[in-house]
Amino acid sequence: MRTSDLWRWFIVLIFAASLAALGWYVFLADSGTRRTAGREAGGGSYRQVAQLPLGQVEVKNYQRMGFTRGILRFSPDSGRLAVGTENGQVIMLSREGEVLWRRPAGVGKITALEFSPGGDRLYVGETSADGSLYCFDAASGRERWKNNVAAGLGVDLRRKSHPGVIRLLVDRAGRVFALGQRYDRTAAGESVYRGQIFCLSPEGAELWRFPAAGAMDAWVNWMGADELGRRIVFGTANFDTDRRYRYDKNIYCLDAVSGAEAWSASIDPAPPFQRTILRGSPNIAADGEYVAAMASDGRAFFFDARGRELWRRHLSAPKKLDEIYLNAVGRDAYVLGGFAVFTTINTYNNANWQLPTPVEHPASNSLFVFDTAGKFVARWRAGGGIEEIAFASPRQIAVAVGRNTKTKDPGVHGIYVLDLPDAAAAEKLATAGPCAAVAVSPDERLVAGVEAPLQLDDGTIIGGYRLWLWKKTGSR
Amino acid sequence: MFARQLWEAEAGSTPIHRLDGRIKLVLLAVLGTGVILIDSPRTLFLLLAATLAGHTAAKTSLRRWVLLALFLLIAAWGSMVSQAMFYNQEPRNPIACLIAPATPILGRLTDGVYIYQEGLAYGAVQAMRSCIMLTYGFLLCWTTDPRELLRSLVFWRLPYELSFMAVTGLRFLPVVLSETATVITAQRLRGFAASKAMSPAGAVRTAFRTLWPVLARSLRRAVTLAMSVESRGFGSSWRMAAMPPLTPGGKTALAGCLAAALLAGAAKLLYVFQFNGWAHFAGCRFVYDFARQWL
Repeated sequence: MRTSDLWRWFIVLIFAASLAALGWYVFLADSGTRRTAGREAGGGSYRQVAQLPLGQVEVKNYQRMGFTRGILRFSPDSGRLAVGTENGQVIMLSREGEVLWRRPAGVGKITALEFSPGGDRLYVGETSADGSLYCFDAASGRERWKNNVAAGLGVDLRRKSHPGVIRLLVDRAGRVFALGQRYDRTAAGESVYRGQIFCLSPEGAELWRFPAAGAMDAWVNWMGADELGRRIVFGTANFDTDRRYRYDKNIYCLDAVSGAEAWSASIDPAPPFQRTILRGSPNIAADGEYVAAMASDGRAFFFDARGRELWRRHLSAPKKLDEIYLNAVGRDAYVLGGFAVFTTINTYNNANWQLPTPVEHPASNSLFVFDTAGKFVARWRAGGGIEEIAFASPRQIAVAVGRNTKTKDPGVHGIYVLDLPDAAAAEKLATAGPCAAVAVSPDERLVAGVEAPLQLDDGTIIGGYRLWLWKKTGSR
Repeated sequence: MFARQLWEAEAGSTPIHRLDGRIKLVLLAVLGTGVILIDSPRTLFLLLAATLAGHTAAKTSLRRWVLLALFLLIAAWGSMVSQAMFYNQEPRNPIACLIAPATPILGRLTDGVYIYQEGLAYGAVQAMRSCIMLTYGFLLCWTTDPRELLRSLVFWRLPYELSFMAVTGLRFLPVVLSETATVITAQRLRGFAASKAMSPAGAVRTAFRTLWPVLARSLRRAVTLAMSVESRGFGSSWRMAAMPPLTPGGKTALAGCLAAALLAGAAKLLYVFQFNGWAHFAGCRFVYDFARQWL
C-alpha cells in the first residue's frame, strides 16, 4: 500500500473514531450502568453492586451554598429502585442495578417520588406549569394516569413561578397524599407562598384537599403521615417577618380521613430569630402516637398525638461572632420506635445564608437521639452536612453525608449506616463526592446513594453525579 | 485535494443522483433553517448521520470521503477545542488545566487557561451544525449537475442573475483550486521548499506568492466570462427551457419534507413561547416535552 493511501485511510479512521466518540457522548455517556463486584468501594459487610451516571449537573463548590438533588425510593418488596434526577429523568432499576426503564420529565422538574403499597405503581410529582402528579406502571414505565393537582395554585410563566408537587406519601390503603407548593415574589420583593395538601384515591380521583377552598399563604416544605394514614402533620417556614399570615401556626395536624384540621401549634421564635421555621419536619410516629419537629433555629420539639408539647431541647444555640449570628441549622426530626432522632446541618451565616462561615458551629452536622421522655441518648458527629437520612426499621438508619463548608474535608463524604439507639457508626460506604441522597430497602439488604460532583478550591472536581448501589453481604 | 475532478459533480445512477434537484434544494433550505433552530445534540447528531448516510447511498469515492473527512475534522475539532477553552457562560466546570494561574506571566495574564466541560459540549453542538451543512453541501455539489442546479434555483423563483452567480461560484471553486495547484507546481519547479514555509514569516511569504497569481488568473477568467455572457444578452430576455413537472413521487417527498419541517417549526415555536412565559397551553404538554428533548 502506498504512503498516500495509508494517509487516506488514517484520516478516514480518525474521522470514524471522532464520529463514534461524538455519538457515544450524545447518546450513551450518561446511560450505562457500571456493574461492579469489588469490595473495595464498599464497607465491611456491604458490596458495591452498581454505579450509574445520572447525567450532567452544575458542579457546586465550597464558596456558595446550594444543593444537588436526587430522589431515591425502594419498592416495598425491595425489588426495584426508583431514581429522580436533578436533570429531569425518572429511572427504574432492578435490585441488581440494571436499568429497567427511564422516562424524561420533559419541561417538568421531578420533585417527589413514591411507590404504591403494592409496589406496582410509581407516583411522580413534578414542578412545572401544569403542576402534575403522574402514576406510572412500575414494571413498564407506562403512564397510568395524570392529575394536574397543583395547577390550582396558579402559575406565573414570565417569572417561572411554577406550581409543583414537592412531597408524596402513600398510606397502607393506597391513598396518595400530595403536597402542592408554589413560591413567587412580588415586585416589592415580598415572598408569596401558596400551598395545598391533596388526598387522592389510588386511581387519581381527588378525595379531599386542605384547605378546602383557596390555598395556604404559607411555605410548607414538608409533610409526614402515620403508617395507617390516620394523621398528617406538616410545618410552615414563613420567612417574611413583617407580614401577617392566615396560616401563621408552625405545626398543623390533619385528620387524614376527612382532611379537617385536628390541631395546630405555635412555637415562639428563639431570639435573635423572629420566626420559627420548619423545613425538614415534622414527622409523626408510624403508630401515630408522637410527633417530632426540628426548627431551623436549632430547637427540637416533641408532641403527643393531640398536639401537646411534651418536651423541647435546644440542640444548637446561635452564636454571635463579630455582630453576626452563626447557627447550625436544624432540619430532620423522626420518631423511630421508642426514640426521637434530630439532625443539624452546616453552619450558616444568619445575615447571608449563601456565604460560608469562618468557623464551624460546635453543634453542626450532627445527629441526636433522645428517648420519648426527652432523655438524651446519643450524639453522632457526621463531619459533613447531613443531606438525608433513611431507614427501614427503628434499629438502623443510613445517613447521606455531604460537604463540610468549613473543614472542606472530602474524606467525610459517603453514606454511614448507624445502629440505633446509640448512634454508633456500623459501616461507612465512602464516595468521592458529597452524598446528596440515600435510601434503604425495606428488607435492609440494599443501600442506595446519590453522589454529587464537587469542585475543590484548587479547581479540581471530585466525584460525579451518579447513583451507587450497595448490597449487604454479611449477617449484620 | 487540488484535483479538479474531486470537486465537480459526477454522473451516477444512485437514488441520490436521480433525486430531483428541486427537492435537493428544498432539503438544503430546510436543513439550513433546521440546524439553526435545533438545539438538541441528539437530533443534530442524527441529522449529521443522515447526511453522511446520503454519501454512502451516493457511493462517494474514497478520495472524496477523505476530503470530506478532512473538512469535517477541522470544523468539528476546531469548534470544540476553541469553545472548550474560551467558553464564558456560567456554570462552567473545568476538566483540565492547560495553564495554571500560578504560571509566571501567562498564568497571571490569563488567570489560567482551562478546558471547560460545558464549552466542549457547546462546541460539539456548533460543530455538528457546521458539519451537517458541509456534508449536505458536498453531497449536493457532487451528485447534482450544475445546469440542473441552475434550472432548479430558477424554478424556485430565485432571480436568474443570482442563480447564475451562485452556480458559477460553485463551478469556479474547482477551477481556482486547480489553478492553485498549478501555481504551487510552478513554484516548486523554481525551487520552493515546503519546509521553509513552516515558519510564520515563511507562511506569509508563501501565501502572497501563491495568492497573487491565483487572484490575477481568477480576475482574468471572470472578465472573460463576463464579456462572454454579456455578448449573449445575459439578463435581458433570457429564457431557459422549462423544467418538467415534479413526478408524483417527487411531489409526495417534497410535501412530506415540508410538512415535517413545518411541524417541527411549530413545535419549536410553541416551546419557545412557553419557555419565555409568553403563552402556555396545557393541552400541548406532549409537544413541549418532545421539543425540549428533540428540538
